[in-house]
Amino acid sequence: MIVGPQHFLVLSAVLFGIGLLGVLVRRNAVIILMSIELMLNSGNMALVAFARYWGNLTGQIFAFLVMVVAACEVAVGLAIILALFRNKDTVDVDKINIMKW
Amino acid sequence: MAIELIRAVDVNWIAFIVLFPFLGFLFNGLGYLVFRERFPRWLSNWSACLTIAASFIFAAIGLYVISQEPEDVYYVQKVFTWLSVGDFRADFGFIFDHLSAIMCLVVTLVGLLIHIYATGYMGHDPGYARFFTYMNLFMFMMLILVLADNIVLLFVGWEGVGLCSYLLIGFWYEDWEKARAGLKAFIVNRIGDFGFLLGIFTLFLFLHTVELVPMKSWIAEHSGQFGHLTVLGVKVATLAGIFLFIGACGKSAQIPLYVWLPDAMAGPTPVSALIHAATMVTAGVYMIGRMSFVYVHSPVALAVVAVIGALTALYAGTIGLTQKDIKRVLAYSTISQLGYMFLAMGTMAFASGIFHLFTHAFFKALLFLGAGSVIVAYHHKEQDITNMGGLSRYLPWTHRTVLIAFLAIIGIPPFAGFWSKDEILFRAFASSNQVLHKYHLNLLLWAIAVTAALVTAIYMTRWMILTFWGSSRTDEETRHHLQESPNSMIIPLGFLAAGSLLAGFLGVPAFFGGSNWFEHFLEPAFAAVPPAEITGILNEEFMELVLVLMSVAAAALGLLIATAAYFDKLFPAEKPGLADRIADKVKPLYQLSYNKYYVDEIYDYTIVQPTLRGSYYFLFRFFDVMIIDGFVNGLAALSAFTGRLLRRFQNGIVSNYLFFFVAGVVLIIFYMGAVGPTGGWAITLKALLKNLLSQIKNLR
Amino acid sequence: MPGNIAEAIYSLTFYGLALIAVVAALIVILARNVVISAIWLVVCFIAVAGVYALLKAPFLMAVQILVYAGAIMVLFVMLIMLMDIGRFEPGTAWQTLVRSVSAAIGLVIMMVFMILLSLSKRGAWPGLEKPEPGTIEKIGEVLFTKYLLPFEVLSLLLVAAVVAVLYLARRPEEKE
Repeated sequence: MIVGPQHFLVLSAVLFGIGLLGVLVRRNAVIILMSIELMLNSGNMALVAFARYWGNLTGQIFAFLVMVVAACEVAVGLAIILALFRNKDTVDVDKINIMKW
Repeated sequence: MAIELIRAVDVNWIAFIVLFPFLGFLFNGLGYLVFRERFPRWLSNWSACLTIAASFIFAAIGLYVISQEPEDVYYVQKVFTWLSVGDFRADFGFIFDHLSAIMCLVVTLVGLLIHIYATGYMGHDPGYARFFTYMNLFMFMMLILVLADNIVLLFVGWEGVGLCSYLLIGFWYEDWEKARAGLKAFIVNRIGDFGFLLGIFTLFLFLHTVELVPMKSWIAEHSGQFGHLTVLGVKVATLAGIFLFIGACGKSAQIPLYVWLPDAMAGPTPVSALIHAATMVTAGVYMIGRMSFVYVHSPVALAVVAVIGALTALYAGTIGLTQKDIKRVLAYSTISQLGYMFLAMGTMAFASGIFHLFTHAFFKALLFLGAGSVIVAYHHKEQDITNMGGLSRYLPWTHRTVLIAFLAIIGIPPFAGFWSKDEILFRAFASSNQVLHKYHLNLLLWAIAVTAALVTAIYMTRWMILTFWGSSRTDEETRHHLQESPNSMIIPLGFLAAGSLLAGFLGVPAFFGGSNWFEHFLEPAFAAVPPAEITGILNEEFMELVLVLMSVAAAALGLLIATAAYFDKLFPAEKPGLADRIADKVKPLYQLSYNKYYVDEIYDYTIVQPTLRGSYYFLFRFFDVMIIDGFVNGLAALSAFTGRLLRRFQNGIVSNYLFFFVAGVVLIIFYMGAVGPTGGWAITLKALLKNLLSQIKNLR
Repeated sequence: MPGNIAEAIYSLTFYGLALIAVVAALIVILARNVVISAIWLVVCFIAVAGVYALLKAPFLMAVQILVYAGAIMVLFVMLIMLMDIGRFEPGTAWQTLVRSVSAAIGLVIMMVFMILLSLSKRGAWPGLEKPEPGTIEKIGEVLFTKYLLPFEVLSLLLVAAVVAVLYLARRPEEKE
């Protein structure tokens, strides 16, 4: 059938869901970060799809901004994981329990 | 329908009457706090007395001024707005009408004389500054009471004099018994005050005001309506009247709340004279006079007042017959005379009640101050009259003045007490109170009152015989030191004696050719009352003569009986006197009277102990410790428990936190979808599911 | 027929790219080895870039490949090599339970989203007739006029991120 907006949106939903599962299920901090990137991407895709179908560029600009933010976030996130690894010698999130009472 | 044309005139001098004692209170109080023993005695004495003198001058001038005005004029002054909430308005305001004028005069004049006396009496007491502080505070409160223009301010004065009574009775507080007497006075008073408050509430509930003048004019305008205003079948007037009277029973020591007055004799004698004879205890009588415009609509309440008054008069007299303490006899005498005043008020003879209040203030204060003179002569070591006697030789001036008071209280003409007491007896007999007439109570009450007069004569004569006449039973040693009191004490006695002699002439009724100035002067202050009439056996003039003769006869008879009974005290003989033999013969009766009918013990057993015990075991041990503390501790325990529980969620494990993130977001999204303003897609989902289900059904 | 063929190619391309993206994503979250995950993430990003092309967003496609597949994934791989990540111990039973429950919830959410988004309206979209192509000129025009403020604020964000990374990732001081 003709590919309409809902196709792109469903694809974005699927990717989002997969990213979500990754965040919830995996123990490796780096993989979790990657899953977050996946979710951001799916969001971007939805935005661009809407931009196409509304006929203006607002969605694309927004997606561009999100990409920049995602890049920053990855950098900082990886720096944190690096610092954590240097201290705890592991990136298993189950082992990192210092943020508690 | 004639509404009294009462005109209020705004003035600015009434407040001064009240202000001066307050300044005296502050001055003495601060002086005491700052300087303690170094505060000069003369300064304390003079400041206290001068302030009261200034008050008296203002009161006297005020009385003169208002007597020159037409009858329906009275003065008002609003000092400041005190409470004003919606309907309810109680200002710090004063009324100076004929009744206030008389009361102020009594309070300030007798107060002044007693203050001067006290400078001598308390001459060697280290706490003089404190004493005069309290005395001035008392004068301040009492004057607020009589001048108040609304019943709430009156209650403030009412409570204030109760407080001062407590402070002054327990003045020598180091003695636990004396402090306890003060406590007893205050607590019993409080019980009466509860009734008083209920009265205030009742009046406010139905009249929507607590100010006296608006109350009076409203009732005057709607007298028919008010007369029939009832709640649960009881007239509002009756309810309010009885509640207020309960307060009066507490303050003015009537049955059943009189028990504090005899114990109050533990305070210094000037206190007994001022507070428990001339002024505070008369506050109840004044209150009924003030609220007469309510009481006239309830003959039932007035009947209650009269009956209790008469009974108290007789009852207290019978106790006074056997008491040995010089002041206690006078205390019971006060209770008895107050009973007379209430009898007068109850039989609608309002002016007569106030008249007796007026004369009683003079001779009772004089009796007390005379007793104080005796006590000082014995250096505060002896107060038992069975150990006294023959003091007329040692304390001549005391004796002369007290003699005049004695003749006044018994009711021997032409002394003051005769005129006022006789008036009351006459009004009791010829009362216009319909309820009393209905049950023929007016005759009974009159009989009780006459009997009480007889008993009064007996115990007062006994008192005089044992204390002043006959031979002395005091030992040699003490007798040598007996001497007359200083002038500061004798001169007030003189003035009071003059009052006891002359005051009565202000109220000589028409029967004797007088103009009865007193009653006419007070007429505008009270509600209109149908005139007294004698339900005729014989014609009126003759009945009046008979009544007068009977009251004088009662006095004379009492005097003779007592003289006969205590003859042995006058002229010592071998065998014991008549009184002692009678006492032996009727020992149970004697014991009953001597032990005050065991009322204190009964109260203690039935009320005081159960309250104390109930309080301790139930309220304290059970309720306070277990329930309230338990509740508060339980809250703390609950917090700790919840904390322990919730703490487990923060285990530091990141994936757990992520889980909660996601769960939270999901909840928010679902909330938004189902309920919020963005909602609708939950509905869509439901619709979709329904669609699906129906499609599946159709396929089958 | 050209319309139909065009549409057919369009659809086919879309489904193909979608398939690649989804499969790649699944491998990312399921692989045991971190490096494998990283590589397949790159594949996924490129697939998404392709989708952008389909959506008439050429600029974004380029940026996606440059930034995401190029910079971000390189960063990932570099860090993975920097940290010697060994095998993990098996998790506790409680954690496994929690994870399962989370996974279930996640699946449910995904299904819900899918269903809902598939219900978006068909047909009459404004941009269907006159799509706005996302060429560099057009993007530049809009970026520097209408959306200038966010653009400038982004530079601040970049500065902040740089400072943060420099501080967080510095070598630990030598202890005496």
